[in-house]
Amino acid sequence: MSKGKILIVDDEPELVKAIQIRLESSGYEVTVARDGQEGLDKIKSERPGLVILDVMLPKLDGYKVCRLLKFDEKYKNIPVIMLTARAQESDAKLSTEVGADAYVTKPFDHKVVLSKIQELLKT
Amino acid sequence: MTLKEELEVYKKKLEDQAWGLKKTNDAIKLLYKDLEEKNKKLRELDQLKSDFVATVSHELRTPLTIMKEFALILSDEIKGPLNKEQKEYAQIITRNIDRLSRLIENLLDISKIESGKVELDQTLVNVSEVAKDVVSSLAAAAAEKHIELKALFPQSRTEIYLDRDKIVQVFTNLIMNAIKFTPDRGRVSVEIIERPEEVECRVSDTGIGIAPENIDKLFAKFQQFNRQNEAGPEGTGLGLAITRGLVQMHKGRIWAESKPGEGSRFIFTLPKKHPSGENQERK
Repeated sequence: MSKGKILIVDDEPELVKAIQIRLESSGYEVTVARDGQEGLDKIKSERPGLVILDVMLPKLDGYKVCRLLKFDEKYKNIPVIMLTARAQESDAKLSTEVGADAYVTKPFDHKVVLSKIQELLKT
Repeated sequence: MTLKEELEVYKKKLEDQAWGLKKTNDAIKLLYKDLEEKNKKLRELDQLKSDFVATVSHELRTPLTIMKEFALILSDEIKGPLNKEQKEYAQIITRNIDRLSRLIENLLDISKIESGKVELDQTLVNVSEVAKDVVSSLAAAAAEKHIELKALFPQSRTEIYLDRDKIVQVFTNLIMNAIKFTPDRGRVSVEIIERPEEVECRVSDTGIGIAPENIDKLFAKFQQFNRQNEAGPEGTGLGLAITRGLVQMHKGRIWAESKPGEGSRFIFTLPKKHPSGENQERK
């Protein structure tokens, strides 16, 4: 049985594949979106239990997607993990400001991502 | 020559000299302007270089992450078993990606320090507590080489304004270096000496030491010495340059003393005075 459905929103298909393999082998169901707009659409149509959201996305960046999500009563309880390529304090701050539940910096370790997912899905 | 004539001669001489001085002055002004322009260009170039390093480093992170994750998917045998050699090769890939990642992180750090983009998040910090924390966090690394790692200082209550994370990085770099360059069963010790104006921190080891001709080059970028005996993960050649940058940002000084064959000692100071000039030490 699946431990839950996770949506990965990222425009790097090979990175998505790597995360997907890890998540699936840990028992999660995975669905993927390639840009911010598709991400929003899939959140509404597929109702994932958690979203992994890249910051730098075509069409709508990750921060905007997160903000829209967190301002919507229907979706604001879906946990969001931001993936940022920059290890700067400003990114951490921005992630918190837009309401992300956690953030992970690239290059990330899948163990860190998995433990954050477990943490967020527990509550 | 009458007095008047003599005065005329002197006057003429003085006028000549004045004219000469004015010429020299103009020339100096021109040179100064030229230097100023060149200096400005150099600063711009330096900034460009720092921006370039930062951008390139960012762009390298995504492909590195992808490479590492797939190497780990292989070596964790998620998609099927590997034989012993295949597994070893996948681990070699992972290890070297980690090395490259460290280099990128260090390049980012040094480019941020050099371009003055690092902001200190200063709070009142107890230096002796920071040092003790770092010493205990590195106990395992020292134990692996059977090195005796000791904190030789009394608990102090003195607190000074510091960016705690940066000072943790300074202690970590110096102690890790000491462990790395000290043979098995050697000793590494950390001392803290309080002076009225500053706190002096020393990291000493019984390692291979540094040749006198290399002491001055230690803190420059990409200078690595005496690495022939070293078996552990390779350094990036940027650790001490970053360490020096972090100490200098705190208006401190850092230097090294060594006798080859007997050991090395790295010393840095942290002023108790806040950069604003007020003495903000609290006891």
